[in-house]
Amino acid sequence: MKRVNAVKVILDIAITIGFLLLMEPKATGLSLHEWGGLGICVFFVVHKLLNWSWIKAVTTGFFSKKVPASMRLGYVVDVLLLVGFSLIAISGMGMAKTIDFTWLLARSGAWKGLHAAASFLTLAAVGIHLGLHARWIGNRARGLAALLAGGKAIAAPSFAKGDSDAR
Amino acid sequence: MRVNTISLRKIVAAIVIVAVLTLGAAAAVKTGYVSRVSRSLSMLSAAGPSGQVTATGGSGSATGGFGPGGSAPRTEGRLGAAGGEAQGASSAQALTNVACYAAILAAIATLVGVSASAVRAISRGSASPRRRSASAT
Repeated sequence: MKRVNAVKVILDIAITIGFLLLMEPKATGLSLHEWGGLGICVFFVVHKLLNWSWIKAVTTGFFSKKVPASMRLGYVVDVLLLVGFSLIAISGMGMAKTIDFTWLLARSGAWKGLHAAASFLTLAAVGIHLGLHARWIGNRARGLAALLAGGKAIAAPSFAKGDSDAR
Repeated sequence: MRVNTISLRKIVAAIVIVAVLTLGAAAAVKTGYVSRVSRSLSMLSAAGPSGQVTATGGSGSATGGFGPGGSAPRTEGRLGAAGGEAQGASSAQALTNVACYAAILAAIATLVGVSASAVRAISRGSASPRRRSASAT
């Protein structure tokens, strides 16, 4: 397994677990919820940068016949995730109590509803994203497990043309 | 015969997708996920300009002699214990909620994963080498 793929898998696991914990502020405490939320946003950007070649390829060829429908669906879900995480971050900054963002955003009662709605919808979008890339995640997780176990790493499968998991 | 095989595969895959999606929707409604989302959205649409609530209260004076002071520590102890219980219950509730969110995430991912593999199986079936060679003959 390539090192970059191992980093990707570890990052994906961290984002998923972190996002689930951040869904409930009482589980982490408000301070950790707010700082952790900012951390998840950074992780999300790193995740996108690591997959930048895939994003670039699908963006440029989105309307061409070379890009299969499943890959287009994955791309649309990714755009929804980007919108969702952006809304969560902005509304979170608008209602933050332990970090002062009043210099950037005015406090308002509307932020809470937006934050909750965006969180629930993003949770659903994360589920769809994970489902669409389930095969990739399974293959890489097996490779990572073999790597951690000290055995020979499972060779990365060669993805067929048009496989949306090839990222 | 070949056409029948492919049609059967498509029908089975379609039934699986519909069943899985129906079960998923039912689970989302049953767990209260849908109602939470709709509540959040309705809260969002109903949110108006923020207001400030000002609590007002009068001032009082505590008067007392030296005698009744003895009961105060016991009251504080009770309050402390109650507070601790409430905090424990709250964190347990929070962890339960996190587990529920994890279950919802896993359910959605499974639904989409199963549906995607079913669609993949259909497209693989319709473009399989066996079919192509059969149609060529």
